Amino acid sequence: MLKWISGELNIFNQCKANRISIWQCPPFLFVIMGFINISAVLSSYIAANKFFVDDPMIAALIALLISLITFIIGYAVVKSFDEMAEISQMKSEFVSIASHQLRTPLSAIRWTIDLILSGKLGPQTEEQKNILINLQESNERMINLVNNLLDINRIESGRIILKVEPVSIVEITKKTITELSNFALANNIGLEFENNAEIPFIQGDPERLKIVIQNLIDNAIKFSRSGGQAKIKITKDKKNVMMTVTDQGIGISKTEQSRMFQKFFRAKAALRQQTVGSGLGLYISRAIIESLGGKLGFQSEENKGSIFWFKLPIYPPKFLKS
Amino acid sequence: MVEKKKKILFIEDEATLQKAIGTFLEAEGYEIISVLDGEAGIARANKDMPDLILLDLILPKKDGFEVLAELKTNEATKKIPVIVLTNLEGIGYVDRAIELGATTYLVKANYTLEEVIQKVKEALA
Ligand SMILES: Nc1ncnc2c1ncn2[C@@H]1O[C@H](COP(=O)(O)OP(=O)(O)O)[C@@H](O)[C@H]1O
Ligand SMILES: [Mg+2]
Repeated sequence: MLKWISGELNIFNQCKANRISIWQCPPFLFVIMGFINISAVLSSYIAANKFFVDDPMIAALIALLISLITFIIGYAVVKSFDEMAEISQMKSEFVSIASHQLRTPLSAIRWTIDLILSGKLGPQTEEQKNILINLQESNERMINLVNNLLDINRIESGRIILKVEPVSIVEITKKTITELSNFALANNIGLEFENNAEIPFIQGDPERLKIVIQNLIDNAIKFSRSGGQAKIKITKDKKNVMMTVTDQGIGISKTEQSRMFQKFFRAKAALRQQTVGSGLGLYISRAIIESLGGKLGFQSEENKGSIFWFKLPIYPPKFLKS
Repeated sequence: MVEKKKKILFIEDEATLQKAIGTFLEAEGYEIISVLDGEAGIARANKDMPDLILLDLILPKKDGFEVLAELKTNEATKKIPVIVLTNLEGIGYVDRAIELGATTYLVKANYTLEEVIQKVKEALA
């Protein structure tokens, strides 16, 4: 009961957070409306019974007056729903515009550093090179974060998949492994890739799928111990293409397993390892896979390691149609 | 005989970004014409007849979609390949640009300089 009440109060807080006055807050107005309805019935009953038995006109007038009040409140409720919808729309547009605008200077920085490192402007000393590489890494982290925020925004407005075309999971995986090989080397983790069968194409958004694959392999490297091995495997059955990423790393405790797909969640063990991250990767990955009609999950044992997997239908008919 | 330098028109309002790609491409032996807004872009395309156009979408005076539409309906500039290079990324944008006649659509935040240069070379080959 207490929980329910505090849950209800949270709805009021939502209005507060959005700076909507209490008289425009739909949950509050609903409560008031209910209250007025009840008193309306009661007072009509009392009025009809006790005082104005001989004058139904007055009872009718009271009823009319009360209906008018409920009507006005009802109108206010509808209006404030509109307002709330508008605010949330504005918020998502703001995030979207801000992120696009942020990405432009960030890309400018990335390409300028690329240009200097290419040596086309003249050579640099080893030290200068290292500084630029560090700078590049910080910049990449910012780009990633902005991209994550954009993706979250898209998930929340139901538009995470931007295009659907035939995609080779194998090709994307190979490319991602190459890109992450330096990161694996730096962490002293071996990457092993296995795909025996002919893997068919699936229908998907190649850029979004790359985000998923990148994140799963990145996690397997980050949450492993030096000297460990991460194994990436792609298989198929009649209906699905399936990818598994297996590591021998720190694993995830039983108590934290249920929270893995929450926005911003990072396990204690992960925080202790001081790895960089935002806790957005798995949330986004699962949303992407589910939007494409697939499933993403994991099994894990603390201190032993984890298996993260996803599967996607080979020819999801509902996407072929649209 | 020395081969004639290939000309690339770069329509982009972020000067730093333009400088990075421009300098790289010049070092690779291309001639670069840089303009900062859509109207100037259309004017230079007609005047200089570049071999390739790199086009941002959010631009002052005329946005990239308008520029693309004008270039592709004008007999003189219709055949010039256009690479859209932008940070605008959303449902419908890619389709719209390709329908209007763009060769490729690249999201800046997803590519390194080398990858962009690679795409430019492919488009010119
Ligand atoms: N392979 C893994 N082994 C152990 N823990 C993992 C693994 N993958 C994910 N996790 C846990 O899940 C959390 C969320 O993952 P993710 O959403 O990708 O965020 P991030 O990588 O930014 O920390 C991680 O912080 C970590 O605690
Ligand atoms: Mg991650």
